Amino acid sequence: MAQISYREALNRAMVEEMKRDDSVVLMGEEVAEYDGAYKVTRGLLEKFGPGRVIDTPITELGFTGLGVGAAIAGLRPVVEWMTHNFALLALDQVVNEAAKTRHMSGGQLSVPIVFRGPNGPAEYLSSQHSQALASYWMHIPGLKVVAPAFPADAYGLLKTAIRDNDPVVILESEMLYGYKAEVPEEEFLTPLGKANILRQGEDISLISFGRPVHLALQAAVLLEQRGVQAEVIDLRSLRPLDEDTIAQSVKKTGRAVVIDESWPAASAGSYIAYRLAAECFDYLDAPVELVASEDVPMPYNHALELAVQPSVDKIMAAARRVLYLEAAHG
Amino acid sequence: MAEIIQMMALSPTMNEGTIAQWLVTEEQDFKSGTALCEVETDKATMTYEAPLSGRLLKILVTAGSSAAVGQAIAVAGKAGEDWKSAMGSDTSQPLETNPASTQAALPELGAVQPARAPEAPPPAETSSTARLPSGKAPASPLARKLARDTGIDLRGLRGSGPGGRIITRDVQAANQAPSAAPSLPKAQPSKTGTAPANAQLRGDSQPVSRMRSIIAQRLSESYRDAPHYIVRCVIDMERLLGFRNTLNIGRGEKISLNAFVLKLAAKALEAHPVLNSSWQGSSIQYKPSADIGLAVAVEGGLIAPVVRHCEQKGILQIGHELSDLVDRARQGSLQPDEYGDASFTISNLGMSGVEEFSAIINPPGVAILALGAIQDEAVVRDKQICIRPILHATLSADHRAVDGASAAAFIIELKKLVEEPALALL
Repeated sequence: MAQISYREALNRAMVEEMKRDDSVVLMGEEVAEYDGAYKVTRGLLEKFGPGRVIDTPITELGFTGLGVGAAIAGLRPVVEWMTHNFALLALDQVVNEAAKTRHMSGGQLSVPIVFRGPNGPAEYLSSQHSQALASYWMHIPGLKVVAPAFPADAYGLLKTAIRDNDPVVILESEMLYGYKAEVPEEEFLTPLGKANILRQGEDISLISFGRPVHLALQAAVLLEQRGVQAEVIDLRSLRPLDEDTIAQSVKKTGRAVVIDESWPAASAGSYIAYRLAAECFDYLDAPVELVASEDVPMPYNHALELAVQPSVDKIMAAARRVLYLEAAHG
Repeated sequence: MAEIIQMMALSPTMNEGTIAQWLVTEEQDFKSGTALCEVETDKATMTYEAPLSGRLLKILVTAGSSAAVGQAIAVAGKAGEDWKSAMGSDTSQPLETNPASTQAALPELGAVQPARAPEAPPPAETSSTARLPSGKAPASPLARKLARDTGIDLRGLRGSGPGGRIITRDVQAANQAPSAAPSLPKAQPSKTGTAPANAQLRGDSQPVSRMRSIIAQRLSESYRDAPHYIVRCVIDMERLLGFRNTLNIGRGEKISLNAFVLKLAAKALEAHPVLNSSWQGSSIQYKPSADIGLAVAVEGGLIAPVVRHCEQKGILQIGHELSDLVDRARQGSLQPDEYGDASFTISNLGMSGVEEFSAIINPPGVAILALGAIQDEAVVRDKQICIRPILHATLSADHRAVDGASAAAFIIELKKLVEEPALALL
């Protein structure tokens, strides 16, 4: 099995789907001539020509709406947002058009479109370009939302998203674009709405999605050195959310730490913590912990920038609290 | 002094780069800021500007080859310097010089403050029974469910969680120590094996016997005053069982396993006298001999007859005395000097089939060893899974007199002796 990067996995998925289905088109800022701001669309213009790989003006609301209309008219557009920060300009087209057209047309119309781009902090990008906006999309019925943490999932989820008949938002991570891991060479699809148990454990459930999954895995290694078996769950999809898998895990372990790189209020992480409290009430030996970013705009100072985000230290501290390994007090 | 030039992260996501070409050749001088080489990153080809001025002494990574961020790609210094002087013991390992890469942004494993192992929870230094305004004890939902399912009354438990919250391990501890656990009446029939006798107790109220009253007083006092903590270990019994079988061949009065444990415990106590002591408030009295009690269940309660001077006695004598004491304990004919003042106590519930349990310290001692059933278990030996007879041993110790390190050292010493009885000859 070949080791390929997360960005190569996304690229491979798009190449395969564009070869398979002529109705798949790609549009976005710099996706064609420049190979994409993060080089995810490298070589696509050369392979598929300017009719299917389209550089758009710097106008998120405009080209996102163009994509939605094209999807209603029968194409399967992949719209690349340079980052999710810029997609805020396109909220109306996603929330009011893409997400609602099937419902409001009584099922006569569908919007088979993929919105994708990097979400969450990278580094040295300050407040406006470092936001983790998962809950903006997860909030909206009518959307599907996925957040791959590994190249294989980036590949499998993007392919499934392109084939899906409803709008799918993909939360990629700039910090993971260069991350390499094995991706099977034969074609495969990863189902939407299915979490992945990365590591089995009996003592505590660490639940995350996207980039912080890698922090959870590191914490699990540290916990194992201390005799604690952590179960690490990569949600992969936020909507639909695989509530069965996480509830089953927490009913087994009695303890949960949810890790989400966005702010804590009204976030994916806080919703998941609420679902666990409701579904697993009788099985919890400690309140569900949420490790989120600090509730402040991202500071530019690099030390502070790192300090406000979830970290292995913060996950370990939360794990110690739910495991009652802190010195007892009171 | 010659210096290493490392590959730098030229984009936030770059983990490695390929040298496209060197723009400065070996033995050529350059100034800080000069373009040293071109590097293909994951996104683009960038020029690498010299971080210092000097002479390029040696190119380590040639054009077309790649290097991880932090890896040495060249050595610079003054004319005539030996480039090898800059090389440390190992230059192939990438150094984490730039926190921009994904891996480097994550803390080092060792940087995380170590958590306390869950095997050694801090049960003693917690609050006494806490109460919510409703009068209920604060308890986790799982602890409440477990208490409901096993018939434990939460009102009598001390919570070891924050704010005195009763958590699962408190209920589990209560389940393991029946004498200290305030169980709800409805749960009793299902938990006891002797149904006919206990069936008569249902709905009945009985006066407390003198023995029960003494047990209640002494063990309440011990559990209240001595901050108990628990140290566990798993002991492979294969050698000792074989040893015992050999010694018992052709012997009329078989030597019991308890006799071996008393003897080996005495040996371990010799090495760890802290466990063979008594807390006296302003002093700790270290006992001159290993006087080991063995808890024996009797009609209506329990009693712990003591074999004195186990450290001086042979295994046959200990076995003989023990069997006599246990018999007379069950008949209720022990003399007071035969059961008082144990310096150390062993409680063995192995015959009842429980895997492991913890016991309340028997005053005036400072520790008690609780032994479960010996059961075949799959264990790993020399990277092979094999089946061994395993004993779960649990030591409760009084933290006023014995710290965790001493308790751990003692129980591990005992484990070594049981697993290799020949060591007792030394």
